[in-house]
Amino acid sequence: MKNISDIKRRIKSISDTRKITNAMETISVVKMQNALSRYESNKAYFETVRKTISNIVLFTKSVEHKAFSHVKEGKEAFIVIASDKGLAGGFNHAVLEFALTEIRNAKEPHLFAVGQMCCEFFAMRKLSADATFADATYDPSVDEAAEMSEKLYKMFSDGTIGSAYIIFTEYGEHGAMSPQKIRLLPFERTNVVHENEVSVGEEFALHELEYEPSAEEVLSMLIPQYLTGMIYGALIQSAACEHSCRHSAMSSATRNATKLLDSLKLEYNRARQESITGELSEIITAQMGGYGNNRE
Amino acid sequence: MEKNFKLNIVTPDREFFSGEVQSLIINTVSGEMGILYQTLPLVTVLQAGVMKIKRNGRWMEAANSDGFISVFKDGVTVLTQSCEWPHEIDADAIGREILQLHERERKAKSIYEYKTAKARLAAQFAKLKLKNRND
Repeated sequence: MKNISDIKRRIKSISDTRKITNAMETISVVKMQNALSRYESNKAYFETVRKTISNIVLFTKSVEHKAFSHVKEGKEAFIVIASDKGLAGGFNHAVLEFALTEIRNAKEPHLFAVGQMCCEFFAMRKLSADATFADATYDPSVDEAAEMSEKLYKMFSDGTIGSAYIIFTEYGEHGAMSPQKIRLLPFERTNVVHENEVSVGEEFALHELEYEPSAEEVLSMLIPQYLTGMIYGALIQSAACEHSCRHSAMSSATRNATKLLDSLKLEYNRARQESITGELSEIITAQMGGYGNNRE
Repeated sequence: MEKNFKLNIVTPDREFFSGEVQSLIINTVSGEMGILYQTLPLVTVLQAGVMKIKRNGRWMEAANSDGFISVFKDGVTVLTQSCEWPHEIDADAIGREILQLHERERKAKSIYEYKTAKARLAAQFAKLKLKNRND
C-alpha cells in the first residue's frame, strides 16, 4: 500500500511532463508542416540539379576534370546531418549509427558534422570533425549549405580528399524515413550511364555538349552550386524527418503519460478510500468502546 | 514562325517557371545570350541580372541571381538561387538588404564571404533595376 502523498507527487510530476510533451507535440505539428512544405518546394530543385548534373556527365566526353575522374585511393569525406535537439525518437540514433559504420569502414575519413547532436556523438567517440555546423539543421538556409559546399570543394580541389559523401535521413514516400548515403564527388559516369539506360558511344555521338566560355570555367562554378543544391536539399529533407519524428515521439509520450495518469489516479483513489475506511473503522471502534463505557 | 521549346526555371524554394516558350535571353559571364528552339546543347554559367522570356509572343522579364543553365535537346533548364517577377519585388526590402550587404562586403573576413556578398549585391541591384523599369 503506497503512501497517498507519494502518489500525489507522482501524479503532479507526470501531469507536468505531459503538459510539456503535449506542448512540444503541438509545436512540432506546425514545424513539421512548414518543413514539409519547404521539402515539397525544394524537391523539384533537388531532382533537377541531380538530373542536370547526370546529363552533363553523360554528354561530356572530351573534358578532363577532376570531378569526372574515377575514385582514386584517396581520403573520403563525409557530411553527416543529424539534428540540433534530442527528444525526436530514434531519429538521431538511426542516422548516427549508420554514419558511424560507414565512417569506420572508410580509411582516413574526414568528417563534417552538422547538428549539435551529431557533433556531440562524434566527439564522444573520439572522432574529430574537420568542421562542425552546430546549429544548421533546425532552420536550414542556403547560406549554410553554401558554406559547407565551399569548404568541401576546396578540400576536393586541392586534393585533401578523393571523394565526398553525404549522409542524411531521406524523406521517402508516405513519410518513410531511412538513413541514406549519397556520393557528391566525384561523379560516377558508369552509374549515370547505367541509370539512364543508354549505350555510351551512341549518346556521345548524338550530342556533345558545348561549354561557354570554357569547360573548366563552367565546371569550376557549376560544381559548388551543385554541391550547395544537394546539401541544402539534404538539410531540408533531414529537417522534415526530424520534425515528423519528434511529432510522433511526442504524441506517443503524451499518450503514455495519459495512460499512466489514469492508473495512478485509480491507485490514488483506492488508497484514499482505504485510508478513509481505516479512519472510519477507528472512529466506530472508539465510539463503540465509548458506548460500552456509557452503558456501564 | 518561331517554334516553342520547353523551359524550366527552378530555385531551391520553388519551381519558378515551367512551360513552352519561344525565346529566352539570359546574362552569362561572357555577355547576353539568346536561346531559341534547337539551340545546340550547351552548359553555361548564369550571372545575376534580368532575363527575358518570350511566351506566346509576349516578352516577360524576371530578375535572377547566379546559377547555371543547361540546354539539352529535350528542353532548357535554368537553376538559380533565386528568381522573381517584377510584381514580387519589394523596393524597400531591397534597399535594406543592399545596406546590409554593403556592410558585410566591407567586413568580410575571407575571400569567400566577400565573393558571396558581392554576388548577392549584384542580384539585388538586378532586382532593383527591373523594378524601376517597370514602375
